[in-house]
Amino acid sequence: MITEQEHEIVPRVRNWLEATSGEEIPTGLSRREARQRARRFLNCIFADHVNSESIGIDGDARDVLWCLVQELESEPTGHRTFEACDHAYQFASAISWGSDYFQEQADILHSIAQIGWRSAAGGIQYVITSRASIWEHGDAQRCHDPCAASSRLAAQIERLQGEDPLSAEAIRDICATLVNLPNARPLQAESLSASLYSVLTDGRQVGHLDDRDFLAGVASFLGGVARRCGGRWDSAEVWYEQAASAFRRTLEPEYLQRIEVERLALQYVRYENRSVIRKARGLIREITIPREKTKARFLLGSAQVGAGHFNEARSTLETVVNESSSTPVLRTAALIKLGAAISGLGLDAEAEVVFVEAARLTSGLEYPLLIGNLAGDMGEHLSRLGRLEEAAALYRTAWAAYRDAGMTSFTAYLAVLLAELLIHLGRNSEAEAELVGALGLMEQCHLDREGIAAVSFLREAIAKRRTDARAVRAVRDQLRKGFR
Amino acid sequence: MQRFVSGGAGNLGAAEGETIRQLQLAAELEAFYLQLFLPLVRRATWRHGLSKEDARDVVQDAFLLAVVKLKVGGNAPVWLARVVDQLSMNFRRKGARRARLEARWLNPASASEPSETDLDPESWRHSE
Repeated sequence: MITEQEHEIVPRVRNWLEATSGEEIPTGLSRREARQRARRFLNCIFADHVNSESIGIDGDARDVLWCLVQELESEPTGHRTFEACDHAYQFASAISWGSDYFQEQADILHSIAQIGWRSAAGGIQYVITSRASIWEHGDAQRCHDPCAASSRLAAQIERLQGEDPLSAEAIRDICATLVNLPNARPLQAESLSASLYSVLTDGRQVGHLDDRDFLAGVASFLGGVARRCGGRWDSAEVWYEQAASAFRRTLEPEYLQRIEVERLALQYVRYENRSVIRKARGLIREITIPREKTKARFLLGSAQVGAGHFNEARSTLETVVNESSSTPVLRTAALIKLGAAISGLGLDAEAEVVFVEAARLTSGLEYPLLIGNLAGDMGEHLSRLGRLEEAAALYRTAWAAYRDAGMTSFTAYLAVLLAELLIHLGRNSEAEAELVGALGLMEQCHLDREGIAAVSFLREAIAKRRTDARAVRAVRDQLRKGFR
Repeated sequence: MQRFVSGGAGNLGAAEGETIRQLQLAAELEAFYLQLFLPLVRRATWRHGLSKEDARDVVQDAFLLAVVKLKVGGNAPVWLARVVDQLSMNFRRKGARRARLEARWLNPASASEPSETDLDPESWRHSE
């Protein structure tokens, strides 16, 4: 019989319960004492007599900080409370908390930010709306000239070096442009988001309350997206975690949902279709940000295509197309995958109608990822119909789009697909030429041991002019599953 | 660490191994106290408005549940925090209900006439 194993923490809990049975366990500072100290501390804050050396962070101080939140909550809304919250936030944020199993520091900071922004001019809604505009701007503006945007952003970030304090509005504007870049120019986005993050965390004042954490969260999040798009998947997770730590401390921890969807996207590009299908359903139920819900649904549909569940994929992706009329990039991406799902069902004429519509929308967006995806999926469709020459031309287009955007892993993968097709067409020397060009890229892809062996085998076969479909397929499979 | 060292710890000559084991256990309990117990007590106290004593009972109840229900692969901090939140809310709900009943029965001047439900012992059992 299979039994569920207990969690690793359970033996510790059992030891604890045995040791404390019938004991009076000390519970830290009493409420009364915490309140007295929090009141004194608040008076110091109002009198501007607080600096980060004022208290050490032992268990008692944590009680005082929790109580301080209650004291701030009981203050009348207004500028004085806003200022007090701002001071308290910067103070509590600078504390090195040590072990924080339950994210207490983030909880306290989130609560202070809420109370503080309630007392700001415009209130909480103004803050939420202006922060949300970062993402809306990204959808509406699209990305007509990513190169120009990239150099403009570099100059804007450079200018921030001379400013102190830093304006939250100015950095929000930078983020609103940067948000377009990871899909279009992942390498530049990676470097720009790292520069922005470093500016935001160098100790200068940034706006008020949680502005710094929020913007550092956005910069980290976009850094993670850029790494996912550029194929640097190991480091993407580091940046997601950095973003999560920052967002937890802010007014809106709901932004964590964006990170969960992004993590799902990372699993999807790693071809972990089953896992994506399993997780996406739960995520779609939990998510409250409409656009993120649609993105999660899109990833579910794409993974269903990848897993060969074409009927389910069609239904999922049709919902996404209907839901995403105001987000052209997402709608186009969904149409491309819908075309692939319909093609998988063998409804060729219908699939082509959808692909043509996707191509029309793609031409209005300078998004190499979309161009690459469209050409790749159409290539697969035509390949299945036996139109191999046209398929090869489309694979070449996809390869060029990924290469221009610096998407190493996709570029390598497409080169292998193209070579496989060329071998089927009996054009072995052309296939070898493609593979020679891609070997360097494959080696940059951080493949696991099996992947490295497959690439070495292929290199040897090419050197002996004995490249065959089997060697190419082995590398293709490794590229699909072997990216770490 | 003194909080969790038992009396046998001083008997070094007799059983050094046992003493070391006890000290390790004491260190482990101290770490558990600081990393898990106190933060959860603070959560129940400050987020849910419980007294420190009630918070302690709620957290110990959460630990009892963890021994039975927390399985491998679960996210322990998230699970424990949610259970403490739920137990704290239940505790407060029960407290409020008890206070209403007490106000009605112990201070008849300020209370309205008991309803039929108040007089039904079955409903008391459900309310507790």
